[in-house]
Parts: sequence; structure tokens; C-alpha cells
Amino acid sequence: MIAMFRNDWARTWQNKARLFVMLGLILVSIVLAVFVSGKGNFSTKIGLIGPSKHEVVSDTVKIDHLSQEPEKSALALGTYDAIVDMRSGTPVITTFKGEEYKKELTEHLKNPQSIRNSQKNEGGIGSMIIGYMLMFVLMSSVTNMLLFSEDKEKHIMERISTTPVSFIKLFANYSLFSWLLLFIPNILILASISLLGLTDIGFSVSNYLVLIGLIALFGVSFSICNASFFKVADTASMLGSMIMMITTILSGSFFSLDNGNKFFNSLIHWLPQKQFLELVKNIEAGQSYGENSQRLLYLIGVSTVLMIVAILKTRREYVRN
Amino acid sequence: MYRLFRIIQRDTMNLITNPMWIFFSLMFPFLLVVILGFLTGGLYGDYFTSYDYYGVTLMLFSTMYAATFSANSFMEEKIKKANLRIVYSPIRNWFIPFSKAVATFIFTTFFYTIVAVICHLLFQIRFGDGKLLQIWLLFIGMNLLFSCIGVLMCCIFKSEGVANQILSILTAALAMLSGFLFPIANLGEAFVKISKWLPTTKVAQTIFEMIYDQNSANFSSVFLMLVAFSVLILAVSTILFNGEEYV
Repeated sequence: MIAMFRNDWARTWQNKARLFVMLGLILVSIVLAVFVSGKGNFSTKIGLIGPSKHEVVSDTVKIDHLSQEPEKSALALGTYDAIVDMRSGTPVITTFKGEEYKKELTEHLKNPQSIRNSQKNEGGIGSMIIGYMLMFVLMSSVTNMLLFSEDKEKHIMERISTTPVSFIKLFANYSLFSWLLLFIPNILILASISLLGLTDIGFSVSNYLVLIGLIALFGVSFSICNASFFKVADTASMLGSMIMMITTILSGSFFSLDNGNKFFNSLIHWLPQKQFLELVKNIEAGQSYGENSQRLLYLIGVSTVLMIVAILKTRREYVRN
Repeated sequence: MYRLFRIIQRDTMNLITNPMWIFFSLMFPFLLVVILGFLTGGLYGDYFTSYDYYGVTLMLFSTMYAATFSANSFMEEKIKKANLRIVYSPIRNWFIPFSKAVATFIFTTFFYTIVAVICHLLFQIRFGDGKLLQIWLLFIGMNLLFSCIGVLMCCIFKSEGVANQILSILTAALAMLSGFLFPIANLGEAFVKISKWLPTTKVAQTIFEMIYDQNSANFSSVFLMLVAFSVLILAVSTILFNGEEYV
């Protein structure tokens, strides 16, 4: 086992450019998550033209006072959710969002005290940071599965399958190695930010240890399962990172995509990322891990299933009796 | 010139005869638009649908994946050996990276245009009626730029696998910051400030301005910027490319 680890490390170290670029990307993603996220985040942005006594009444709505009508593309790009023209006395609302949104906004303008409670991503600093990191952690877990793909691509796997090493041991080695490759730099960076006291990162380091370890476990088992289905490394990493990207965005790690659609919500509910984000929120709210044992079990269960599929698939492909 | 033309022809043929790449270049943008467009439908209205937003931004995102195609056409194991023979034939060294970028550009432009037409027919996505040609030019400008970036990455890392892995994360980050995956304004003001500095954001903004405001004031400057960046990157990669190292 240790010999296999040494070998893995030697192969990773051989390509220093890749290793350091990966570390650099992790660093950048964490710095963005820790220092930039959550500054001035409003769920509704309104451009207001003309004289108005309308004041900001909640921290979810932001009102920009404009001197002239902005371009329509600002609506398309989402810079503003709506533009309200007060010059004629009665508000004229222009929005690209549906009629329902328009009604809600009219209601809000008439009665500014009625604070809209939609879409606000309730969560503290910690869950915000983890939300922003999530996509990069999962995508780099896919690209970290390089050694396994390389073994398959260069037909080393055929030779390994003739050696006495068991498949379980082999896969434990692959996954543990890429788990460490993912876990160590992330934790080191977060811990040093926390210990140097640069800024508040929400959770304690021990909480981060558990949470990052958990999501890295899911990432690794997904990517090993993904890699086991493809002969070529590029196809695997391209498709894998694509799936991870879309599912992570849908799970609402950056902002909540909740639009009240039942079908959509029940679909999203089963995404492991969604469960993970819920877990993070609950932990932040002061719950213990025991209270969230269902979520923990779900994540570990999904990871185990993915890992078993990977082992069975590879064994069927390479071991012939 | 004849030789260069022949190499480009060969490289384009290599891409077109690979069913995997055709599948990727057709299905990838299409599925992205369909899935994200369908799932986020409720967040948009009737005039400006989710398809109108994601049709434009995800096509731009797909053009960023031209980098992956060019990295593949440059350094795929099968092609490496053939290229090695070209290195020792009496042609100029820069023909090789240059032709890969051009071949990828031709390939992706062709297939992405097909996808855009299909999306337009299926979901009535607006691609700017009067300014269609200019918008198309911006899209293929992005295609050209990212074809060149893929070649550059290969020249730097000397391995296609590494180049691809780094590219996939870089493109995802860049796409996210440019607001291709969801409106960047949702991430707060700090991210909007970063986003404003990115050339890719400028492209998306110019396209939306042309579609919804009929304002093409920025078109020529953005288009020139894309072409200038492409030429610059291609020049750097031809300088970095060293035939003998390429094994």
C-alpha cells in the first residue's frame, strides 16, 4: 500500500506544472470565496428613474437611482431585475421577468413595508464560503482522477490486473490518494486563513475538517465512478466536470434557484450537493452532526454506491476468468 | 502556401472524421441550453425567456470549449506520431500549431452554427435579426480566440491531458465570472466589479446590447480585441512550439 502511494506521488510530482497550477486554482477559488463573496449581495435589484422618496427598506432589495433610462440589455444581463420609471408620477415598471413578478413589485412599491421573503439565501459566512468553494472542489476532484485514467489509457491496467493486488486495495489507493490531494491543500489554506486571523471564515477549523472531508469523499467517489466508464481520460474529465458543474449550480450553491416549481424542487432535493449544503446550513445554525445523521448517511451512502459501481465495472472489464 | 493548406485540410478532416468530437460539439451546447433553459424557466418571463438568456450565454460558453478541441487535435496520442513526421519534413515549424488552431476554428464554427440554428428553430431564441451577421462574427471571434488558447496551453504544458484538465477548470471559472452560467449580478457587487474587467463579459454584453437595444457601438472594438488577442496568442504559441521537444 505504501509502495503504491509512493508511486502515485512520484507520478504526480513528475508533472509539477500541473500540480502547481492546480494548487494555484484552489488558492484562487478559496480567496474568492472568503474575501469576495457575499459583499453587497441583494436578491432583487431595481433601477429607479426620476424623483422618489422611495428608500431601501430591506437588505434583500437594492435600489439604484438612475438619471436616465438604462439599456434593455441591462435587464437581459440581470444587472437590474426591473426598472421603475417614476417621472410621470405613477410608477411604470419595465421587467423581463413574468407578470407575476411585476404584480409583486407593484405591491411592494405601494406598500414598502411588505418585505419580500423570496430567494434570500439564508446562511452565514461559513455556508456562503463553502457554497462558493463547492464547485471548484468537485471539479478538481474530477481532474484529480488522472492517475486512474492514465493507467487505463496507457494499458497499465491490464498488467495490474494480473498482479496479486486486490481490486479493493487498488481502488482504496486511488481514491485515498486523490482524496488527500484534494483535502490537504484546501484545509491548509483555510486553516492558515483562520489561524492568521485574516478574516472570519464562519466555521471552526475542526468543522471544516469534517465538511470538506465529506464533500471530498463524494467528489472522489463520483470521479472514480465516472472515470471507470471511459477509456480515454479527456472524455471522462470533460463529461465529469460538466456534470459536476451543472448539478452544483442547480443545487443552489451560489444562489438559490428555487422558483416554487414542485417537480424541479423534488428533483434537486436528491442531489448530493443539495443535501450537503443543507447539512452545512444546519451545522452553522448550531445543530449537531447527530441531528443530521440522515444527511450524513445519504452522502456516505451515495459515495459508497458510486465506489462499488466503479470497482465492479472495472473488474468486469479487466478481469477475465 | 500549398503545403500549409494541405496540413490544415488534413487536420480539419481528422476532426470531422472523429464521431466523438462531432457528438460533443453538437450535443454539448444543445443539451446545456435545453437542460438549464428548462430548469430555470420559472425565473424568467414570457418576452425574455430562459432560453433567450441561456441560448446566448451557453453558446458563448461552448465556444470556450473550442480550446479543448484544439488541445485534442494538437496532441492526441494518435495525432502526435503523425505530427512528429511533419516536424521532420521541409516545412516551417509554425505550420503545425497554426494549422491546428485554424482546423479547430473551422470545425467548431461549422457545428456550433448548426446548433445555434436548431436552438433558434426549437425555442425561438433571439439572436438579433438585423444584426445577425455581426453577432455571428462575435461568436466566431470567441471561437477563434479559444482555439488559439487551447494550442497555447498545449505548447506550455507539453501534454494534452494536463492542458485539458487545466482548461476545463479555467473555462468554468471564467464562464462563471463572465455570467455565462447565471447572471453575475446574483453574486453580489464585488463579483460584478471583477466581471467588468473580463473580455468575455464584454462580448456577452455587446451581444445583448445588439439584440435588445439595437446598439452596435461596441461591436468593432470588441471584435478587433478578439482578433488581436487571437493573433497575439497564436504568435506566442508558435514561438513556444519546438518541434524536437514534441514527443
